[in-house]
Amino acid sequence: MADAASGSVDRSVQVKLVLLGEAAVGKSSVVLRFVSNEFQANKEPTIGAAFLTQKCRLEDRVLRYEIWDTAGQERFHSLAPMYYRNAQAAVVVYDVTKATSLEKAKSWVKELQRQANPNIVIALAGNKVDLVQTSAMSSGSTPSSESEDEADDATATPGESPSVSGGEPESLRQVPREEAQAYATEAGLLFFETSAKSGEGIVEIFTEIAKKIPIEHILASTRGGAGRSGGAGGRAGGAREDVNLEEQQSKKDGCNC
Amino acid sequence: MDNHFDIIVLGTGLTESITAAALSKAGFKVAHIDPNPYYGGDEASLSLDELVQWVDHYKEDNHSVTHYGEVPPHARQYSVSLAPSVIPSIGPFISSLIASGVSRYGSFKLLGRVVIYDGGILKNVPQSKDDIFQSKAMSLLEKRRVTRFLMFAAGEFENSKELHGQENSPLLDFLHRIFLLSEATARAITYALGYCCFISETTLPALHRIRAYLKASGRYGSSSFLVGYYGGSGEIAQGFCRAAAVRGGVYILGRSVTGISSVDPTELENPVLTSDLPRFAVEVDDFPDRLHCRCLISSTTLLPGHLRTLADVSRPSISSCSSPRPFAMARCIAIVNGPITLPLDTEGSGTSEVSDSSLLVFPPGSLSGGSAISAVHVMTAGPGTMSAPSGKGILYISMPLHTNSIHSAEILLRPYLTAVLSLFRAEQQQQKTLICSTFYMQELVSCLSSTSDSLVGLLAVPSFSPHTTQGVDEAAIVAEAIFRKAASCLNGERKEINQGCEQHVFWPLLDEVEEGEGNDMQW
Repeated sequence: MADAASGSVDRSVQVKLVLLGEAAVGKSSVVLRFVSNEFQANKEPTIGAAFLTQKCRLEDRVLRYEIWDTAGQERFHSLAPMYYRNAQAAVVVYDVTKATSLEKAKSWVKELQRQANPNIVIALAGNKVDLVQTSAMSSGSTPSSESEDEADDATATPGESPSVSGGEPESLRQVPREEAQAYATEAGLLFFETSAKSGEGIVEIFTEIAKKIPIEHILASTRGGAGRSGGAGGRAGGAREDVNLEEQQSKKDGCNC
Repeated sequence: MDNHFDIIVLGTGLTESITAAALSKAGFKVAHIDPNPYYGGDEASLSLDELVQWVDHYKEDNHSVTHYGEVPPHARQYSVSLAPSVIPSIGPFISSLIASGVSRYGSFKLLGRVVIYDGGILKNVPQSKDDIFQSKAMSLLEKRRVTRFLMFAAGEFENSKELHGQENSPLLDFLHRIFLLSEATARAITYALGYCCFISETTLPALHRIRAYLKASGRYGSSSFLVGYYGGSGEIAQGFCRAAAVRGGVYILGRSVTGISSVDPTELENPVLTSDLPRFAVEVDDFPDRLHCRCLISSTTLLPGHLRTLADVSRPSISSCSSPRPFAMARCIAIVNGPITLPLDTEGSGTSEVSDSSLLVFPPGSLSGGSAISAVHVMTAGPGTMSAPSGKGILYISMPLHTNSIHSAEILLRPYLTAVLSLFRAEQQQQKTLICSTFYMQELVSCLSSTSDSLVGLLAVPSFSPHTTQGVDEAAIVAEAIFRKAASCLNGERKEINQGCEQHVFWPLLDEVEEGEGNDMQW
């Protein structure tokens, strides 16, 4: 197993990526679009999946994203620190039609910069941009906002109900692109406006993150010893003597890299 | 908002968290609530600034707690455990970790050295038969006797002639008389292999533990124990909570429970209709509506007084190998400058890998000014388990107490802290400065034995076992017992509707690949 990390698959690097953001901004939908290239209105995206994985080839390197969704734990401000520990990348999502969600995103960025791995690559994603585009994109009979909200509501919890109501596209925008872009630049984040519904900007987030990930650093910290074949991939530092608890259990390995 | 749950769990200690994960995975609708803004309850892993807040809060309740020193920079890079423990490599807890998939959320490494304080110096405790053969400290005769004992302890000793009639004599005495071991060797076996807490502990339970730990050694490496990253138990509790959330569990932290009331079932006439009606209503701060559940599981400390006597309590019962449950634990957390690897004894075990996670045992009576009846454990942690920033270390000192102590935790443990720091200084010739320290008394709520008139569906979780090596296994055992009670309580109701209900498995098989996988993307 140890060899799998450094041997045959060679340049494949496991990267733990966490999603953060206020409830109902479309976090799960962003991942679903990326991983399965689909958008489902009434899916229960989070339930049942510990994490989703997606391989990315980038020139000569292969990244294997291990994407962690919040499982609804952000809803009552109950996201455990364990969730974003060791993350090498984070996508912090807000909703372009909801100004408060950007504020929440900023507080998550602050938290990550304080708590998480210092080399973490953070991308800010302003989701639901389809809602503020006047073009034929929003041709469907129902405003896409509702379907996305529903999708995310299924993730979580009782409590707050979706607040976005359908309406005239342009006036829905509450976060100007320039404002978010300026904040992202200042805070050193990648920035995209995205639509999980149309797919706009989604792949770009993950490709740009892949380019920015300090792969050599991760390889250096995982290669030496046993590496971690399960779980959270390369540690920020000194992962040498980690024990993989499943190693002596059985030969089937759930998520060997 | 749907306010109806099958189960509400109060408290996010390790036991409660394992229970919540198992119930959620079994398909029950779970809400998990903790008044603290952090996970883990009394076993939480906290950053240093959180620890200081915790100390302030603890003081308010008139607990004995003292704190010295300034919080160092990078306070958030520390993960300090309020109840540090190690994980036996074989046992109910590690089985739960693996079977639940939670092991993938965390990171683990082998416990480094186990060292015993003996006659003023530190001695390595051999962790395997090979270690014993290589040891230069023991005479050949002594080696042979130790080997004979280990063979005995690893085997089916229950009906042996050696044990006959000796089951209840103190282990130390047994080792002297039956295996003719020297005092020093007998002490090492009693306290650093059998991990007896008290001088009087009897032979049979200790032998069970020794056998379990001998078996555990070799599964992942030479040590019988693992340590978790980021403060251990508190971090692992978060992992179980995530597993519950992934299966739809609802998490509410940092809101106090302002009221629990039982909904009177006698008011309901039709048994078929009653089956899904709630038995309990829970009021949570800031929530407009009460949350309802059919089964309420609560850590004893969070249960209001009038309900404590009405709850069904699951007691830990590791078959016959339990150490007597202490009344309380005196604990100290000390943050020091400099790497925290334990100084090597003169023998210098030679092996290169030096872990900053180690366990130092002070047998009863080994330190003047220390306890004559309790064994004191000193665990170290540091950057090796991401528990402290580089160049810093954490010392955890713990002393189990038989009875209520008239002394504060600080009076009891200060001599040990002083001794450990001077051992570092003397043997490493490097300055080890104390940055800050906290002393506190952790009281363990002993549960009243459950009476027959307990409320249906009300289950109390006893205080976490503070035993360094046995605590997590007891947590898993209690969690499984509560899981079964809750499941049968909930299913019992359904049984009335559709006869024949399958027995729940504690951890159903993990899906072959629990995570979804997309296609390769190529750019």
